[in-house]
Amino acid sequence: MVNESSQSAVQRLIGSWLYVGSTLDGKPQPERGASPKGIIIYDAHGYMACHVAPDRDVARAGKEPTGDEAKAALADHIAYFGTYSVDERERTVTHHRQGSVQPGDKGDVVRGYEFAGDRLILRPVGTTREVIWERIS
Amino acid sequence: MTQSEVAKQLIGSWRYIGTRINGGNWDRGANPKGMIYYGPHGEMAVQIAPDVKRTRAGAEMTPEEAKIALKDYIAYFGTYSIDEQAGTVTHHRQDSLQPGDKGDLVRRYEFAGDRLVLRPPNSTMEVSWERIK
Repeated sequence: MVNESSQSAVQRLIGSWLYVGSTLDGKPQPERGASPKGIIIYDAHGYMACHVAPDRDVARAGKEPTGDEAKAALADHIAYFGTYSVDERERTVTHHRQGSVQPGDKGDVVRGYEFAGDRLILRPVGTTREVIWERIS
Repeated sequence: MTQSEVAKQLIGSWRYIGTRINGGNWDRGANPKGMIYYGPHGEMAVQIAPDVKRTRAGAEMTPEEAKIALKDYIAYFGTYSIDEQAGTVTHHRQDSLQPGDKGDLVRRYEFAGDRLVLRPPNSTMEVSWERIK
């Protein structure tokens, strides 16, 4: 068993994490409903993917979603993937996005990281937002 | 959990190569990108992004911009189970980005070198992936 503190941040990040919730200024954020679901994955080869879904049923009346149905489906839904890099001095992980479903989404996002037991806390830099994850084990 | 040989082969991340149906290519633009992941604890996730511009002119997307952004974008996650006798992997989805998209998906799997081919049963569709390593 490797002592956790002797592991690099990358080693601790690698794996899959379930979405627990988000807070802003320390307060839970209700916009994704009672039981939002999500996963973030950091693989051993520098690839990552993230998906967070609001607790909300979005229907589709026809074969293809209408513009309004598509807009409702995208609201508060996060889905992107790409590669990642870790800056251990800054304690940040950068997500280099190759694809994101949100229109207008571009480029990298930087997150401060903190490990707390089985939890991972990601903080978009320059905000008071926290996104909390729990390791799948 | 004892992992089967098939699970050992599946576990990891795979890069999207392309989709064929009825012998032709499924059109997701010139350079679609995607990734599928099978975790060691039975978790899975997949995303495929068609090669289109997903723009947003204002602060809030319009219905038309949303429709373009969402079209053919696959994003779902959940757990998976393997039926070695049938040669299938089932994706038990907990969420899918696409409205109205629910329930399990069954895929026949085939390994060929560094490639994984997934085929929906009773369909001519095949989705090809390349192991990320």
